[in-house]
Amino acid sequence: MKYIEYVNEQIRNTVKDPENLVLFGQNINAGSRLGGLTKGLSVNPTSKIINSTNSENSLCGFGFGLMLNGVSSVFFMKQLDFLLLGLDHLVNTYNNIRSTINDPKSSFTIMPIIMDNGYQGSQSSLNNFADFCSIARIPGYTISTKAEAKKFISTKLISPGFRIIGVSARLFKEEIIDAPIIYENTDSSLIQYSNGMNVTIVCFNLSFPIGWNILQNLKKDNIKSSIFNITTLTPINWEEILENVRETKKIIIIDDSKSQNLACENLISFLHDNCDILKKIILKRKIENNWLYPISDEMVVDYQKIKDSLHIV
Amino acid sequence: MRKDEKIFFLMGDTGYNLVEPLFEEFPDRTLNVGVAEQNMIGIAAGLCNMGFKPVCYAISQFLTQRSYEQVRNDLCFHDYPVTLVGTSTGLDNGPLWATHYVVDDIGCLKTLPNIHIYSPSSTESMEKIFNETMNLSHPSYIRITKSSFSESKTIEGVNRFILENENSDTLVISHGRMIKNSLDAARIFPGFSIFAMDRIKPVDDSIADIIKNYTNLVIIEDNFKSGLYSTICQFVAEKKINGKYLYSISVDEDFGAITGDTSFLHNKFGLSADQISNFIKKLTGDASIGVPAVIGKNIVEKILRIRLSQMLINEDYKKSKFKIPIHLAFGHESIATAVSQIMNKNDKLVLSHRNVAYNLARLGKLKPILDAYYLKSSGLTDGKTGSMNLINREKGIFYTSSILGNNFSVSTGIAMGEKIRSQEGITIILAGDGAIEEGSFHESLLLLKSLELSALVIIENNEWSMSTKINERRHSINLEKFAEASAIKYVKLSGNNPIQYIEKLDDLKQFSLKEKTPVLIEVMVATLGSRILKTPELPDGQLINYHAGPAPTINLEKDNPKIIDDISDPIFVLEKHVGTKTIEEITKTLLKELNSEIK
Repeated sequence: MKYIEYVNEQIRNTVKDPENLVLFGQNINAGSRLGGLTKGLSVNPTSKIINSTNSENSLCGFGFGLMLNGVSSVFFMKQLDFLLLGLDHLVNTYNNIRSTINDPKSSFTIMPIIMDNGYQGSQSSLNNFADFCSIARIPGYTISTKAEAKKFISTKLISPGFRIIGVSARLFKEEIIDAPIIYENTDSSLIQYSNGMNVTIVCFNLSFPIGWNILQNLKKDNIKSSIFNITTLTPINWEEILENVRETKKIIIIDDSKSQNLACENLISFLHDNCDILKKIILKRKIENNWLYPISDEMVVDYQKIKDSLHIV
Repeated sequence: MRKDEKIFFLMGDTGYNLVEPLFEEFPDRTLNVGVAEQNMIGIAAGLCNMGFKPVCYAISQFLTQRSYEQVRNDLCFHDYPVTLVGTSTGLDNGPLWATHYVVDDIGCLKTLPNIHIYSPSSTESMEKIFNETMNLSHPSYIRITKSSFSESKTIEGVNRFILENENSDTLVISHGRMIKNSLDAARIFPGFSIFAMDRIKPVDDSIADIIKNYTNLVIIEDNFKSGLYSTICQFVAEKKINGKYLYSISVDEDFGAITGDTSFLHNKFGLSADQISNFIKKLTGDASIGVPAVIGKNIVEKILRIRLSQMLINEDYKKSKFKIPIHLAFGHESIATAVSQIMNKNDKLVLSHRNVAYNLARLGKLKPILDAYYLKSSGLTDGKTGSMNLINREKGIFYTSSILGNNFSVSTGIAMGEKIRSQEGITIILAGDGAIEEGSFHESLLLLKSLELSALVIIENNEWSMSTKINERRHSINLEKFAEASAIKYVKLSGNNPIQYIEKLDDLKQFSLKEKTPVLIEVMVATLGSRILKTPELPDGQLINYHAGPAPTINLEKDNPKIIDDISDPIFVLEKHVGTKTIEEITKTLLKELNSEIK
């Protein structure tokens, strides 16, 4: 099943029954339905689907206002870039609300499409999901796998409180990765899909497919990997990864965000202070002079070089 | 007539299908004088000379006004005990237009010596009054209306309590047909007592003991103010009864260009039960609509309380006692009170950083707000929000924002929540004129209109943004045109009359709820506390409007908290309506209360 088909299916299942739910966003119920993200939505008669105005800033405030008045809502957004217009609300309105409501009864979720599929140009290629979460310590989740789609959409899309759930435009037409979860922490911000003794792979932002590919290739060479996906920027207890790295002594950290402030730096710093690592491979974007032009957005990984660097016989 | 053979019944060619039995039974003591009311009075005076007790029955305006000279010279001068029974009084003959309104009969007749004036409010009252007049040795006038209202009980006196509410400080004094309307009003809003003063002249001195138990005296009559209202005013003045607020619900002293049936005219002049109940709700602090502009004591107190509370905050502020920034709102008290007055329990208020007047208006107390400013856990929001984000959701203040324009969009969501949950509340958004420069102002109005949401968007225009006048930083914005572009109703308010504000806002609220549309309201305010700022760049000084921080030019050291002598100060407006002495008396009382509260 394609990534977008599965994500859409989970959304449809989750929104169809709740009462007094408001789904809104530009063209979410018209045309391509945001490339299929919101295709075929149907809701309880007491709920409402709104093809909204092009007013991203106000639509963010709108969602918070609904939340204040006891109504849950989801704002489906065509591009993460547009959320820049709503930063005031992500920070100031959210801070205001959570400082006065300890136990929210309703939810507000923004679900943007992270435009990481390349060739979009300088104004439509922002993939720094963690930056949005970092700015006001906002719970945020990226969806990379089938398990994450099911978990995050069914348990967090309409759950009291506020969060952002990002989906990857690059993955829309790809087969969704169907890997079983073997461990996850309490808030699903750290999810482990594989446990191997030779190397630890930790993926940030939307880099899990890259890490998964590395794992598959290493497997062909009989190198067994542990792989973790960090789905959020919520302050994470790194102990599980630390434990794993103490066994493998080798780590590959991947972060495909274009931000200058990478979420992975936090883990790197933690590991540096807490264990001895024989080999540490950090895969980050190399920002070239043409990064503002319409170019491929793919992070190119030299598998052979990685394998050779690990010095695993 | 069976009991008293001196009674002689005269009529002015009216009362057919009613009086015939009298004529049949007493042919020697009945006479139809024809359409000749002046002559009828003369005949009655002559009959009096012969020892009879004449009763003259006719349509009232012909009996009292066409025959005024005869009533004065033939009856009152001689103090003849003739009973005049006038029919179709008040607005009974409304469809015949103003020539047939009988709304000035009481005023005309009560200037005449000796005459007694009655206005029976029920069939029981009619009987009692007639018996009384038959035993009088003076002329009398009984003003009867087309009503069959019965109290279904024996009444003790002509003047009497119809309804006594011991918990209310509002007394309706009325007579005739308006007693029934007042009773109906009490069924809608039972917050007042009703006293029937069916004997209007002579005034019963014992009503002084009744009046003393009430603060608000509302005189309701289907007559000009020259009727019972002026009688009560005179009585209160002559008896030196202090501390009373008198209000009149009566027929406008204007014959008017339109007419209609009695019910229509009652509505036109605020005499219907709904209008009476709303009028009194307003006096007692509840929301109301469509009533004449009088400023009740409650409203005066509320506005003064907000002003004095701010002054007390300012005194602490000047001493640098607060760690947080506070934006005072001297000059915003009238609109804040009006907004608070029109709010029902489901209504939601969304404010800006300058929210102090609204928080004070909604809460009615200072201490929890002052404690919040001191960041004490005993304060509102447990002292966790500071001043610019101070909320009070129990009192309907759902959200406040210190970010210009931020609250517009949040309020759209709150309004949508009302719609989704099928609640009946309205969302009221307050922002300053600076906020309309933000894009979210346009976006939010568009959302409100597109989603058919009920909301009052109120822009407090003080023509300043921090230290800059509007015309120093931008081209003017025509809000009316702006609203028109999105087919949104626009209304401008100014003048700081709280009652006019309440009436208008409540009308607009009903409109917005009914039509499911936002309304844009621009209210002109002056944020008082300006000062001359001198800096190295401005050695001669420049006038700077108050924005935030203490207001050094405002001091709490006078008996009257008025800041300036023009209508931009709501206290000046109150003063013009209720007088300086009242302002000073209430100020003294409130200050004592407030100081005790925050001690």
